[in-house]
Amino acid sequence: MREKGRYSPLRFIKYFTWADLLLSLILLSSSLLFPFFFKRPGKGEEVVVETRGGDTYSLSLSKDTTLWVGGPLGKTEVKVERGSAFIAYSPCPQKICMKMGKIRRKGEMVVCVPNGVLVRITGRGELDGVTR
Amino acid sequence: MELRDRIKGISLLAALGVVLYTMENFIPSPLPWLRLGLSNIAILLGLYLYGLKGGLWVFLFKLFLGSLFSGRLFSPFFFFTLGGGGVSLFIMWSAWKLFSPPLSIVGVSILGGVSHNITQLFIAYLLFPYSQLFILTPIFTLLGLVTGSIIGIISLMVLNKMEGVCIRGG
Repeated sequence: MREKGRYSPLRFIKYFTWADLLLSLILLSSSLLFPFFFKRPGKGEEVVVETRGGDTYSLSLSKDTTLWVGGPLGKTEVKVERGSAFIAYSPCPQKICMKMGKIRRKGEMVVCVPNGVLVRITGRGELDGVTR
Repeated sequence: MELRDRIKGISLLAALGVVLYTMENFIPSPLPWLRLGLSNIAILLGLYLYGLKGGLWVFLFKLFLGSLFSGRLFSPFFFFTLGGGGVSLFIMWSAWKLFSPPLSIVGVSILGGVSHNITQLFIAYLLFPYSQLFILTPIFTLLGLVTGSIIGIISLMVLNKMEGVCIRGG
């Protein structure tokens, strides 16, 4: 007959002293509560589009616009819609940049490496918002 | 005599550490940096049996020989291990010296595992200064907690078996 609970992970508790358990509990709770203390960077104000050719465009995040920028493979369509920016069309083979989705917060970016297009969000206090 | 026993014990532990470090590369892992850190058993035992110097010797042997055998001596990976291992060794030694009566080897090992991971996160930040990296802190802490407990329990079992049997020199 197999002893009940012999293979349950709980039986390893006996190797912990109360201080070990306290330490584990503190680490566990602090890492679980961490997301609540970590302030997410706020909404950005500007969309900066850079191309490999060296062109830089800035768009306002609050105004819906469409921008076509040229790259080595063709034209990439950058769209700003309802406060977020994204790459709506790209001539690159894998379309990873299109799948990267919409960005709206300071410091976020979407990059299309094959066509050399970089879209990032800026705003005041860019670094303070992230590091805290 | 005592020095000879000490050298013998540290060498055995260093060999154990190198073997565990090298063998661990063969265990498949979903992510390259996600490892159990089995070789830390040898470091923890070196620390407990032979003090800070013992732990340091085992760590250095493991680091250089283990990296040499797995072909990543002086690669970026090597510096992650160097930083994480060094800081965690120091933290474990301080925790052992300061809080050892209530804290057992399991707790010391947990602190070592967590500090190892957090230090690696810092090194990653130094290499790629992208501050959103620190979002990973809770995940790394939890991973360190789990691996540290496992390593600590194994080390405790080994210490209990070893009690009065063999190479206690120090």
